Amino acid sequence: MSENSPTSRQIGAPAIQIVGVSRQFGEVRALNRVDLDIHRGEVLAVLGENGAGKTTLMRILGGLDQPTEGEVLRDGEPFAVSSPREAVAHGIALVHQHFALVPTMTAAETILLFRSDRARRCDRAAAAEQLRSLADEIGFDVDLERPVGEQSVGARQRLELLRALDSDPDVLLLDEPTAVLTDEEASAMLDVVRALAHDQNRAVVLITHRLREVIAAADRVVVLRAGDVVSPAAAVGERTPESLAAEMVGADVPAVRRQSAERGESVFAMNGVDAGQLRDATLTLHQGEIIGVAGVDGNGQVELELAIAGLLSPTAGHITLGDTELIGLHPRARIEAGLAYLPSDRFARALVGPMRCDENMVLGRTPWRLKGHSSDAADRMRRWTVKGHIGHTAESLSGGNAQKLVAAREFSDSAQMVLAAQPTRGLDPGAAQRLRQELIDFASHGGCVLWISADIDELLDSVDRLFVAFSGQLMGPYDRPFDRTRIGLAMAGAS
Amino acid sequence: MGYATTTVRAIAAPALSILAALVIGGIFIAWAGENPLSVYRLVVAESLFERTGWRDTLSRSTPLILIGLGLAVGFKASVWNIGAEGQFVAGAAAAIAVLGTVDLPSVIAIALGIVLGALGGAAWAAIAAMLITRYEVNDVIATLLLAFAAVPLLNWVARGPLKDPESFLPQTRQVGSGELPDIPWLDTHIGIIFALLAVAAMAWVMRATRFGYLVRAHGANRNAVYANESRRSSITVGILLIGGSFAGIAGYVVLAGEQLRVSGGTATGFGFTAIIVAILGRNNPIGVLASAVGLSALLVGAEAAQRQTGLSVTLMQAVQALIVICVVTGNALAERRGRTSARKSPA
Repeated sequence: MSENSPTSRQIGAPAIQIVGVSRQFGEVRALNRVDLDIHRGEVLAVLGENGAGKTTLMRILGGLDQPTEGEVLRDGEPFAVSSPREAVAHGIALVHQHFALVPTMTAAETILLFRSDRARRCDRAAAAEQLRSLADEIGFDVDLERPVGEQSVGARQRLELLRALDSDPDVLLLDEPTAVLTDEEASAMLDVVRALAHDQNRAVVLITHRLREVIAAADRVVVLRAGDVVSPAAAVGERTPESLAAEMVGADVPAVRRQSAERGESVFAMNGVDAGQLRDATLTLHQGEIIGVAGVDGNGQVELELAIAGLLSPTAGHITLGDTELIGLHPRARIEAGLAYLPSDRFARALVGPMRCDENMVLGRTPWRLKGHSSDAADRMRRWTVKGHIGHTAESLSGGNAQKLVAAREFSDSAQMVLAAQPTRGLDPGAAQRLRQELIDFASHGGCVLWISADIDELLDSVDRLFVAFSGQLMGPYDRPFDRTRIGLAMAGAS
Repeated sequence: MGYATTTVRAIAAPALSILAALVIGGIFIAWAGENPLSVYRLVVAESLFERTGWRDTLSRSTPLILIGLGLAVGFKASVWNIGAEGQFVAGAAAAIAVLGTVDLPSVIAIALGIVLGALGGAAWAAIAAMLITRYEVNDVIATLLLAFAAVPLLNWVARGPLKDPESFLPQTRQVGSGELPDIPWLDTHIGIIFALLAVAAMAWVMRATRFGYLVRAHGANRNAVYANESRRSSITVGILLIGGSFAGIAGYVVLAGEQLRVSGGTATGFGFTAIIVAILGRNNPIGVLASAVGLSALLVGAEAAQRQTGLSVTLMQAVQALIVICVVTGNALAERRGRTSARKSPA
């Protein structure tokens, strides 16, 4: 596609022009006089830390929010929509980060739900046929006849995109479309995204945390920081992940590299553990060691996590930490045995949303009589730079700050081991980097870490040894220096 | 969202809701041919300013406060114990089974009665707890159906094993020395003092102890509790046993303060009214106290109004139901407003 250089495609009026748009929430300015042109035929990446204003910008374009200042022009005409349906009528479709599909309905049925009333009444078989040909046209492998709830996360993300394309939008807004995908699924998805822009002449706006994807998929990139445009939209060209990260956080983010560590005695052991689809899981962690578990979502990582955390009873095997058998242990006893836990679903398992931050800080550690934990909680929140007041509810925190709150609590005990499941998911690069550093420091100080992640890059950078979860089995271990190709093949099931 | 607006909302919403209910109820009263304002004035005067009125209000609210406290704990934790009626009669039956046959000094008998009531109620709740935790029966169904089983069992007990051999009626012996004395100058029994002590104790427990923390956390996100604090079964069982104990103590208090014997008439629906008390009191001990006294006063006043004006007491029961519906709706609306304004802060 090199014959279609981005500049040659920008001829003609932009599909959307954002002129001096600001959005004020009380005291906080989420967007500050943002100017941006969105052109047909190109992929524009919007990059920024959590709270930089990316999502607010998307919401304004998608009809979910209104600017307090400035205006948005659609093909040169002033444009204001107050609902997603109106936005769709103007040819703008938004693909959410969170799934908006109905789990018990088939994919075709649930996509039809989103059609306007008149279109929905049409013949169902014909509509399914339409969707099928739409999927074929963009080369999507989707099963339209199976209930959405039975499909994999990756398939659901493809269905989300298909749903948005069903209205044949001129402008496509994608909010982290690859956040839940594996390397391979993500690159397939990005190929489709590029084709939608370059071959079908749509304007595509891509929000992503994965810097490599900006480089790989976007034609131009705009960087937001705290509501301001830091770097006006410009060709991706020669930019590197490092230079983009620096623009985004305002300072160079040193890449986290794990130094080779000295292994101490063994601390944690799993022997022949069967739990759900997990079969014969066996691994040993030593003092100062970090073991990673990579793999495509749904290959037993969740079972591994829950079995160690005591939330899923294994049908066979042993799990020991120090001298303590973890299976069947009371949750408090597990914490006392020295297991710190960063769950993959932090809002479901590590935090009580409606309760205050200081109350969340003692979850799992409550004394018989509650008193005087506030000052200690405030101290730890400061040390972990959690942005928020101890008296605020945990659910009012952003994803990154919520994870820091959990870490501040879990790391504060005399923990011997950290079970970190998708610890950086949903975090902006700055926060993710800090958390990775904390995990590495924890190991450097003699602790051990079991690190389950779908982000293969972070594992390759940070861990000492690596397993790959495939179809309920732990393949490996793979040792440094890592052979990326071999690991990638293991993730795909060809070992 | 500031703390002040939250507090204003917490007080203003129920106050406006009650006002709305009284206005709607007033329309029905006017339809029945009475002046709503004078009926309401009569209700207030009779229930709160007449000696017999507030005496009845206090004694009627006593079991509602006790049961309501236990239910509020459950509801706060999203454990739906709606079978307090069964736990109430089980407590009364357990107390009379022992107190009817022994003769002890009064203080010891009363203490024993409280313990027996708590054990009886807790035992009945334990059956529900087992069904819920071991067989995963829905909590609403398990507790409610056991309440319907308890009342006929009570009838049988009063006719059979515990029947007073000297009586022709299907009733047990009297509580004897376990009878609750009156408060001097108040001519109502000391049960209300137990209830007030229980309110103070539960207010403290809910605010300042691990148990209160777990109850609140379980209600808001039980998975976080199971992952960090407690096993799934132990917290549910604990909450049900506490609800059963409070209901059972209420059973003993009604037995020892008013009825003196257990009969088929012991089950008078306090266990069900207490559900309303807990909901109106927003599952807060002080709120339970206020709503129990308020609802009792309304009915005591309504009975007096029926005697004096011929206005049917069922109409006032309808007003009571209207208050419940309006307050619940009002709270839901206030919460929704609270949530939307909280969401307006930056994402």
